[in-house]
Amino acid sequence: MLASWLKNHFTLVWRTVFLCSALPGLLLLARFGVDDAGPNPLALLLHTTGRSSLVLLTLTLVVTPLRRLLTNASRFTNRRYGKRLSDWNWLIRLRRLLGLWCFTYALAHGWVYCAFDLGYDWSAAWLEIGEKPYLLAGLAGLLLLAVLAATSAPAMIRRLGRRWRPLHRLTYAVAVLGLLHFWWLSKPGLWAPWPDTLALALLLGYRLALFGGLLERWDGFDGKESQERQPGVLRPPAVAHFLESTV
Amino acid sequence: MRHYRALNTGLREGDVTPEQWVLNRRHWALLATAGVAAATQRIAAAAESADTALPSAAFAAGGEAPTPLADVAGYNNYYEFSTAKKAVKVLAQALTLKPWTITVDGEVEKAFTVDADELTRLFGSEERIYRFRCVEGWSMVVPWSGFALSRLLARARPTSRAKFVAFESLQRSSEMIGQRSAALAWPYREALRMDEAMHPLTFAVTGLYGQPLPKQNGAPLRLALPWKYGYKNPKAITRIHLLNEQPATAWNQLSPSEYGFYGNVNPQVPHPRWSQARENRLGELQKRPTLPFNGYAQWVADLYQGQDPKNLF
Repeated sequence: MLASWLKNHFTLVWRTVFLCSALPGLLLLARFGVDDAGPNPLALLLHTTGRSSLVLLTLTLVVTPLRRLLTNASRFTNRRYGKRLSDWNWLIRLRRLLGLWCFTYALAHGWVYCAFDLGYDWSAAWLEIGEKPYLLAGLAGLLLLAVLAATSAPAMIRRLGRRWRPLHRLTYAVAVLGLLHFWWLSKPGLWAPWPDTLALALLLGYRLALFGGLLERWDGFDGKESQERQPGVLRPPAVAHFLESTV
Repeated sequence: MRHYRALNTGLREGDVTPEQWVLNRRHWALLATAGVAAATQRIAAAAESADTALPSAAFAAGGEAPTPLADVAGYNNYYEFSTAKKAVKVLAQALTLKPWTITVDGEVEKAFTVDADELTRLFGSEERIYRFRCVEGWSMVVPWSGFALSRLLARARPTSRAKFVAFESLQRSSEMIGQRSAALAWPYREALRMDEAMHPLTFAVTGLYGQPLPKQNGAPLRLALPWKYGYKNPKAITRIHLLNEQPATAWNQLSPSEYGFYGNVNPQVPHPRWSQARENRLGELQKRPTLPFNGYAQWVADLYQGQDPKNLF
């Protein structure tokens, strides 16, 4: 079973996700290493780091609905493993990794802008933030991401306790700021920001539906993680499926 | 109502100024009364000396190294084909260049239609190295070849009513697949004030790097006005129409606050998206400052005397 195999080989999964997240950056380094950065190296750097950051942000927001989706799919197809939300708890352990990579790319994006576009001309920066609202949105998003990254370590999670979860809902605000940044700097009529916008609209819409009561909350949402499978209470799959699908 | 400045008022001999090639009403009225042969001769002479009216420094881009051909011909803003700069090179190969005629008409005494193959024979060809600055904030140095646009316009003998020159690019969505979506109002239209069009720097381009102009760069005929943003340099021109009123132009129509009619490179006028104070020379990582009129101020600033610089973008 793929689902249980993935769970049992979590270290491998984690390393794969780590490598995939690093890939855009590694490819950039490789291109600059062999002096094949194309006609516009600055645009290549800015676009790759910016887009990677936004995609990774989207992926962090995918984790929660994906767990629910996979649980439902496992129930529907009556899989031996995966019918409980807790079977997919390991997905949550990937979220910090994705979030920290998102912040890394955002930071690189900001640094490339300051170093090569702005040339560290801070008086010009001040002027341009006033002229170009996308700069303000980008800066605000980056600052929020820094707060989230700084509070992502297990020790900080313990220290913040109940306040951690509302604080990290700022991710939604970062997503909106990221999209504003993207739209405001794109030429009108271009399709480039649409895929990201649709994906994030879907994911933020899912949260809105939960908060608005349109979608039923269930165990595992809002900190109420479902219990790990107890060996003693295993029911035959058919009965379990019947019971759970009627709830 | 915009007026272009009349020529030769108070100019001393030896003054090398663009205005001397602005052909004003009186000039054309004189020409009209002269014999056709004489007029043709004078126009030819005027057009010829237009090329030499500027020092060679105007055609050398300050000695900067030209951007490699692979970049000039591989990184193109050409929405008729695609909004993706690297896709244009591939998609533009679908364009059929023959037959191709260019019609010059409107406020002229002698409208004519010329085959694109005839351009070099009729108007000659020389190489000029120009800076090119896109409104998006990237720039390059390009060795174009072609002829001063004034030569072509002079052949049509503009009347005194000709105040603007409108350029119409090809509309052929069967080959220009970008035209199948309404990113811009097709066909692409651009326009210049008459004095801008007659300026000796205004270059009608038929070649690049000593070769015929690649399709992705606007073959068979495009413009190069080095002191203006790239969008003021229409590609694949099919019609040149002289008229009395300022016509609508493609990007200006789409967003007048972002793309002015003049399109002069102006670091003083910011753009909501891109910095116009700095530019990104192709192949370079670090941005560099953008110069007023893209570094051509000494030859073109006179054209805009008395106009509010805030409107010159």
